[in-house]
Amino acid sequence: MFAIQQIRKRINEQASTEKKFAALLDAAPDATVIVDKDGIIRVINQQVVNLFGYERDEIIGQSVEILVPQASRGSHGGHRNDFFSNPKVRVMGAGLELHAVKKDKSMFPVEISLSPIKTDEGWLVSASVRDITRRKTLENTLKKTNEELEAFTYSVSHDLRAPLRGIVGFTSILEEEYASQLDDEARRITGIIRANTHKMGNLVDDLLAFSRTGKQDLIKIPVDMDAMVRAVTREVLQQYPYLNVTVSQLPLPTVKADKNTIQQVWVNLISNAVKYSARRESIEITIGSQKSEEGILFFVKDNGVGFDNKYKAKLFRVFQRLHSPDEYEGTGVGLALVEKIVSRHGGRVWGEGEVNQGACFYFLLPE
Amino acid sequence: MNLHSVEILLAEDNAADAELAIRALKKHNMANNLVHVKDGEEALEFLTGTGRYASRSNGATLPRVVLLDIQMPKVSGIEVLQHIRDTPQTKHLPVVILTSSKESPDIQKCYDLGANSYIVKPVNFESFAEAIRNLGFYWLLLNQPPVKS
Repeated sequence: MFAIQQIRKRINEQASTEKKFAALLDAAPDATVIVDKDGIIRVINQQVVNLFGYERDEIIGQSVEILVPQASRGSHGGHRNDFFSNPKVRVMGAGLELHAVKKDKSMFPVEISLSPIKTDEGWLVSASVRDITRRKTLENTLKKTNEELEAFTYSVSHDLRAPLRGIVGFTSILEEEYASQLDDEARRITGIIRANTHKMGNLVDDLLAFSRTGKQDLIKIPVDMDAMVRAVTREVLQQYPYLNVTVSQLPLPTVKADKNTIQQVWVNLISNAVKYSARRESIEITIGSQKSEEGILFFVKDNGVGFDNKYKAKLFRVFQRLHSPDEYEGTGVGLALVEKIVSRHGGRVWGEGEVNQGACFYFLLPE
Repeated sequence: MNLHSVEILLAEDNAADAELAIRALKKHNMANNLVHVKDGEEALEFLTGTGRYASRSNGATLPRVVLLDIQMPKVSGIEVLQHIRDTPQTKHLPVVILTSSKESPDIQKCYDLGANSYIVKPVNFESFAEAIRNLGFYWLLLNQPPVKS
């Protein structure tokens, strides 16, 4: 009597375990197919029914190869044997583009992860199949968009420059060859034409630099920031021979960074420091660094015109400027470029300022 | 002008760019023997003495240098360059590529195809004139053309 109760209890327990297992399987987000060593489908979850279009009793007991595209069926059995000879959790066909076949014979892209299950009847493999049609579509759209952007950049660079060359070139010819017929006012006007065209040329160049920065791969090598900043400072100051500038450069470390782009960061920050201090009798710029938990913090501080802190979020956006071009010329791309370069290095950048009390720009590079 | 003794072949579809280049060369007396063609097809006709330039088919010498714009209708500068290098008679002809864009993915391609020089046309007129003047000076006066075999 007692023994029968025991057996009944065990049967109930087993049934309940199987129910729990089935419920668990059905709750999984991916289609799950459990297959034995001979490639026969033993268990599936509800998602398989939804995804492949087979009913449970149509698919249980069938060879798993009915879900595999014709072209891959030949090699599939061999791969399965390899898996069972070294059963461990892994993805199927790492790096390959996999496809699966529905009942209606249509194919769709999938990602499959495999995990072995040890049972009394031997090893089984559980395959989780994820339909990645949507992701593939998005990836293709993104790829196409990037290609279009590239073509656009190329045409901006090429087609916008040609008419600019014409404007500047023929204005210069007018000034040179018709000098005797131009009065002062006419010469002032040709000067304005040339200055504006020059500005537009700079804008095109900056835009291109900005779009290029997003695409190029960073090559991180040890960069002697001390030497780099000294060279950049010298170069920047050459453009402002009429200004009285004192640069105090504190010792800077060597860090791993992409040399070309990080140099652009220094050029932009130091040029800005000089440019926005140009109205001071004596310009004082301090450049330094500090080690912190997050990495190495660099700063460029000036005693220039500064800015109102309430606009500091706008500083790093493309084409955003806090000064009119009459006060300080610029295209509004420089700091956006700095932000892009530093964030591609995994760091961040910010600025602090006060109107007429100078500004300080910081960037942090992780070690 | 005697089409048989052309020194510079300028292939440029943009009329303004062509005029600026010719003016810059003229200023330094280097445009006397210059022919301006407006696309790649015409450039090839000139070099091979066919079509509009059939009269050059007999005994015409090659120009000292070809200034070649990349972006041209019908036959691009790249295709002209390729043809020049693939043809035994023009294989050694000095070719200077002129382009508007330093972004161009074509730069590498042009050098691979054997361009002698690659010039990005600057927006600034003085630099443009200077670049053209130097080009003319180098290729017409300094460079020794390949010895005819």
